[in-house]
Amino acid sequence: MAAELRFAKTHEWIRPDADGLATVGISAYAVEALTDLVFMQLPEVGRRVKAGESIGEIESVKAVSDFYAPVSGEVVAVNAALPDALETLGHDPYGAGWIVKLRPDDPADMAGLLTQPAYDALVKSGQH
Amino acid sequence: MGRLSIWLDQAADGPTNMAADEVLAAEARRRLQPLVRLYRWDSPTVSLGAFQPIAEARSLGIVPGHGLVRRPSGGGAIVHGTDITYAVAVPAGHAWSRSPEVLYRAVHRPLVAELVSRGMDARLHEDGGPSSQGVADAFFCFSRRSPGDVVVSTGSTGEPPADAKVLGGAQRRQSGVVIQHGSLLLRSNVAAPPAWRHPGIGDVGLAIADDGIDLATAWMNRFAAALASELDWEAEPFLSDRGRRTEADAALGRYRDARWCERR
Repeated sequence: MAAELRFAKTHEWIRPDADGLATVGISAYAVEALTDLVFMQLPEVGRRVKAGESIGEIESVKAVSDFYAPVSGEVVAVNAALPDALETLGHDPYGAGWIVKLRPDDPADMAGLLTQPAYDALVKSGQH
Repeated sequence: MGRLSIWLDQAADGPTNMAADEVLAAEARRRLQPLVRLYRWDSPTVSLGAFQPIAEARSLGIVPGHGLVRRPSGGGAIVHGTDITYAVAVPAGHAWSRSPEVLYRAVHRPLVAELVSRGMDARLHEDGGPSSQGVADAFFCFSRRSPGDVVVSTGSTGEPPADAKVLGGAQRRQSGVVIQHGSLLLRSNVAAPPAWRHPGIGDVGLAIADDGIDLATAWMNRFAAALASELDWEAEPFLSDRGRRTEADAALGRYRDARWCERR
């Protein structure tokens, strides 16, 4: 898995791109926990979001879950094909299963998020 | 020993109930403690799951004269009026919040125990378990079967034996808190068109009071006992607290807004 991924405690990952943008998705752990996805609502392109703000919703057979902006910024693209191919989240959560691209207000904010080992430890602890 | 606070709340309209549950979730997050509201509806009301298409509800004929509200939780549509609804709010980090199934089973298993003690053939529905009825994506909650639902034998013969779902649930999982809604169907809603009717617990052999409060109270006492929790039955209505009322008023607008109700 790419070393540059960072994670929020709410199970989103974020990866800086070469063009100054950042790609956001949800972790494999979160996808597995949700099970049987049936619907997804994406944010509008152009929306300004704050870190920790809900930017969309995913419905599984048993629950609706919010997903959150890991950092503040502007939504510049969404994976519009994803709601019609939700199985992609399970097959490739860190690649084709990306959800949005953000233009972070401050790219340095990503450094304050969890590293992969720290996120794995959080999941293992059950304190999330 | 943990604490479990329960409000046996006043009947209210759909938007008020949904707004109150939003405040319940916020309060559970603040207290770091599970909270429960048990409530009824002051008039017949259809509640839709968070993303159920309004057009499908209309094509099935929304009941004339019934209120309509969209829940923040998922799941299928419910015709309220002959049920008791619960909302359980659990803060993140609590053992019950770790997966949807854990919380469904924690809340629903004590009802199964209570029904069995009253002579009912009741159980939690399991994936792949025997069922002659119910599909996962049916429009109506009580036409669906998901693991953790409470089903009872109707006494009719057949292979597999017929059962009736009498308690279903749906969740909203947010940062810091999970809220789970559930509806215990007491009796079939005879005011609704046939497609919207499902048998309630009182229709399949259980003698219960009209309001079902005796059953709900016994269920919640078992819930607390199973979890070795100290149970606080709150005497005042949930929204009698001024701060909560103010919070609920702020949330009411969304649930009364047609854009929310028709979001999909």
